[in-house]
Amino acid sequence: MFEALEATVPSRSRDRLLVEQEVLGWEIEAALGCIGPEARMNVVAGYSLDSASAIEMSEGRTSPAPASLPGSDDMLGEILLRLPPLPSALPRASLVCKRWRRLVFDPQFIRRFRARHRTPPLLGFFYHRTVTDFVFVPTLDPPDRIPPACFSLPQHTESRRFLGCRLPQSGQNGGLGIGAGDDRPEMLNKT
Amino acid sequence: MAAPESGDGNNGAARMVTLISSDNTRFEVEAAAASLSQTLQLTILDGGGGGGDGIPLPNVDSATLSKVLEYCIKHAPAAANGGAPNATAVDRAELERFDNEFVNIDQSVLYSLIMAAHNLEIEGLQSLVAKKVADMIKGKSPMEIRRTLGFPDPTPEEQAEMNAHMLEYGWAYE
Repeated sequence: MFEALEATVPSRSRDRLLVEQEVLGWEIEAALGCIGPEARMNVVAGYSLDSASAIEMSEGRTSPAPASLPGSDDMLGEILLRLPPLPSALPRASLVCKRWRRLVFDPQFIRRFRARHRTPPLLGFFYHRTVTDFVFVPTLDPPDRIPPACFSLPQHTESRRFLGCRLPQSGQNGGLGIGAGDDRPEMLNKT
Repeated sequence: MAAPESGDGNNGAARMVTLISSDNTRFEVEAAAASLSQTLQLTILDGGGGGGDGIPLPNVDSATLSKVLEYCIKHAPAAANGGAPNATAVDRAELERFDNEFVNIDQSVLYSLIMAAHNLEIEGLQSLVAKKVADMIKGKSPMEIRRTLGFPDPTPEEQAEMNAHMLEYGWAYE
């Protein structure tokens, strides 16, 4: 998702912050809600793009085109709202054309999308492999599979515990925050 | 021209209204069915559309209107029950089956329905056609979505821009 955001929205834009807060914040809250407090797993949410797309793009094949999809932004919004809440859905839609991109990143649209899909999928969990090591384990199949490297924490020498998933405060740059460590929270900054 | 279905159910006294398509075809339909359209509802409540008058719909051709009315007639009884809280599971399953079948149509017809449902403000139909299009594009890549929906091929500039966006998703190629 962060890559998706980097790709489509300037990093300092207000829209981008909204996306991060609204979409990611919601997913993280919702995903965390499904696990018990004692579980040594922590859950994270995000969006990704599929690898097949770029290859597709370069082919540039043509096919007999039906008349183009009609309608206003409102009507397009109604369609996109009904996409499944999977990590790849909105990023893919955002790459269809500029108009779709603008719509997908419209704060109002994101709020509506969030309100409509109250039960997002579980994207993966953090596995406490050793006392010093957390690994992100994705649970979805491609193209919705988030590569482990995206969310795994660097290995440390001292023991750590997992505090939870948080989003940065409004106005801060960066991505998913994960508190880990004995005495001080540590941030996993998504790149 | 034949109306898709006249009010010949068990209520012989049902009020009928006439709708006139852009190509001047007249459709006689139960007021309750036509009233699924928010746009038409007020006119009908005011007593319009009855007798020889008819309500002209300059934005909807007869083929599309016929399809729209098929939907309205099927959904009117449930709508009259206030969303059919006491509908049986069989009734609901039947409506669902009808809906699925209903949008199993040519894309050009679907596009006409999108516009008509919007212009006539038929909420259920708007939702149904939007869902259909969403189902058509879900799980597809951006380029596949463009093809599916009949977008022209991207210009070289558009393509370059899209490729550049794509390249940003480094980890997604793993």
